[in-house]
Amino acid sequence: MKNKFQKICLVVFCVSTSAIYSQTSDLVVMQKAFASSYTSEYNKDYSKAIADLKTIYHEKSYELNLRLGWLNYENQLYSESISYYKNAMKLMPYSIEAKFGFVYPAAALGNWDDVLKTYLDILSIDPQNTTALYRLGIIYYSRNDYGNAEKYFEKLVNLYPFGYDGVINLAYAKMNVNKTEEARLLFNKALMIYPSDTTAAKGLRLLK
Amino acid sequence: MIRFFLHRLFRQKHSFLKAWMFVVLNIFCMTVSHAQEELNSSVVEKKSFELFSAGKWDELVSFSKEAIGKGYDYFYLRYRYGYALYSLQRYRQATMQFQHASHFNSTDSLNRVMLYYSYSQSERFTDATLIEAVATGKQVSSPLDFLYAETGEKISDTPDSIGNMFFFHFGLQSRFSRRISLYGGYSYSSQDFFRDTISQNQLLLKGEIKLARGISFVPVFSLLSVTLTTAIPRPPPPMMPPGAKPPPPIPVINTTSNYVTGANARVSFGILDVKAGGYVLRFDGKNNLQFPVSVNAYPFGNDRLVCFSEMNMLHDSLKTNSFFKEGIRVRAMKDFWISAEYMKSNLANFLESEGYSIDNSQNILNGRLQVSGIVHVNHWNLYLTYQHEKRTTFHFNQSYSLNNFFLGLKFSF
Repeated sequence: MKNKFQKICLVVFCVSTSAIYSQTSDLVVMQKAFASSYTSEYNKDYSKAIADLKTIYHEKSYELNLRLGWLNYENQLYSESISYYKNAMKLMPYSIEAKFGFVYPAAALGNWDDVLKTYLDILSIDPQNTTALYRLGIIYYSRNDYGNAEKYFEKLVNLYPFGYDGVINLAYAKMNVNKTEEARLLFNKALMIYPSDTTAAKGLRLLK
Repeated sequence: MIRFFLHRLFRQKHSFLKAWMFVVLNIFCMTVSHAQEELNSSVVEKKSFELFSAGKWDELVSFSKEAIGKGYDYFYLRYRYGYALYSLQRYRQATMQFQHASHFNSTDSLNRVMLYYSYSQSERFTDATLIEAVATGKQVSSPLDFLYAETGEKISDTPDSIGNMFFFHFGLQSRFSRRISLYGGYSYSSQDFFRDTISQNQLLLKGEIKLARGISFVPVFSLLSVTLTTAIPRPPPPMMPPGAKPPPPIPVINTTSNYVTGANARVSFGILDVKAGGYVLRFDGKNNLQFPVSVNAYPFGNDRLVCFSEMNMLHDSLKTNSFFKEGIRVRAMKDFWISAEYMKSNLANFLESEGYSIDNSQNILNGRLQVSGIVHVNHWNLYLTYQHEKRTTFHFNQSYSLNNFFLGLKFSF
């Protein structure tokens, strides 16, 4: 009886030890692959960096999908990059970094509606994200949607009143929605931040 | 298979020569396999851009199709594909690609402009109007779309019993918004028979409501007033001197009001326009139902050749019948088209062209052959139509023919 019990304990010990060992060894393999991919990336050998990770790829790994998304983007494989970023976003729906990664290949392919939607998703998670606010403002401005551009630049300037980029873009957006006095004030503020700025000076001339 | 054959060859004489053949064959196979570059998104983007820049439209069309088939689908590829199709004058196919591109980037101005011109060249004028303002910056300057007039004569081959028919139509289409337009028209026709004259006044109202891109709803209402004037000979009065002129016949005038109402839906996709509708035709107190279904096909994606086919089910209280129309239209020169159409019927009292033409006659239309020439000059469209109709009288089953000539004018604003 005692012998039987000892045998059972030994079997359980061996199984659990091997499980822990295999999990640890998986992580070690991943770490090695990532290290190799960083080296290849540094040497601008993006294909090798991708190959280093593809040997251990499985679609349930957020880190692998995120990294492969970036490497494929650097290697100008935009469609492939998008599919990895989409996997990463699906695995971690609240991950802002994956969304910020996704917009690069989407923009490269001209899928601007996807880019816009992704920035709006970012703001739904992080409403004060200044990068998303700024870039959304730029997109709306380039689409001549000055109303929306004004909205996002205004938010940005409220967070960073002394930030030149926000102030100058808000000034132009206000000018295009005929809020001339507010635009004039903002152009003058931009000149205060950056005294020799020709863009702000041009804006003031346009208002006259 | 090749290696097996060569292995057997090696067992024979001249093994050195065979070895060389083997090497050459392998090099050839490797060259062929590497010549077809493996597709990835970088290759797709680079090659499609090169073909686009070089204006190699046929190659770009095949390459784009292959890339999309392999799952590479994004704005720039669809735009270039559409542009190549447009350049090859395959406008209908081009609209599909520009539409796909707009799913990726709905506000790109170049794509919108190309889509607008593709719609216009594909005869999808209502879709073009829908996006005209955003595509071209042009605002709707006039609430009037076009003025239309048509006149003609149907010449009978048996004028003693069945006289000629005179026809006249005038109408105008007005636009209330980019999505809604209304056509109002008036027609008059008159035909003499042995003792009767049938004249018809028709008022037509036809709307078009653009529901979505490629989909329209067209309600129709038409009021017809049909006047039958019968000249009944008066009996001579007693004591009439011989040889005297008989008294004039008594005209008996009988006017009935009829109407037609219904609607059809139009859907445009790819190289096809499909229309299906349902109408109630009230003639002489009786209701008939008519269900037309038609398909227009643009096999080259442009108006160089248009094939059309229409089937109609006509149901009255007793039975259901059908009639068919088939035709083609060809762009013979830059602003000149020729069309030919054949209709097989054996029916009477039906509607054609969404209520524009309503056959009020009880005489059966057996068949009709039609040929038209259409010319476009600036804002004007002019057409001449010849028709040869075979009919049978309702009462006496007498066959007769009509040779019809119509002249139509349309002025677009």
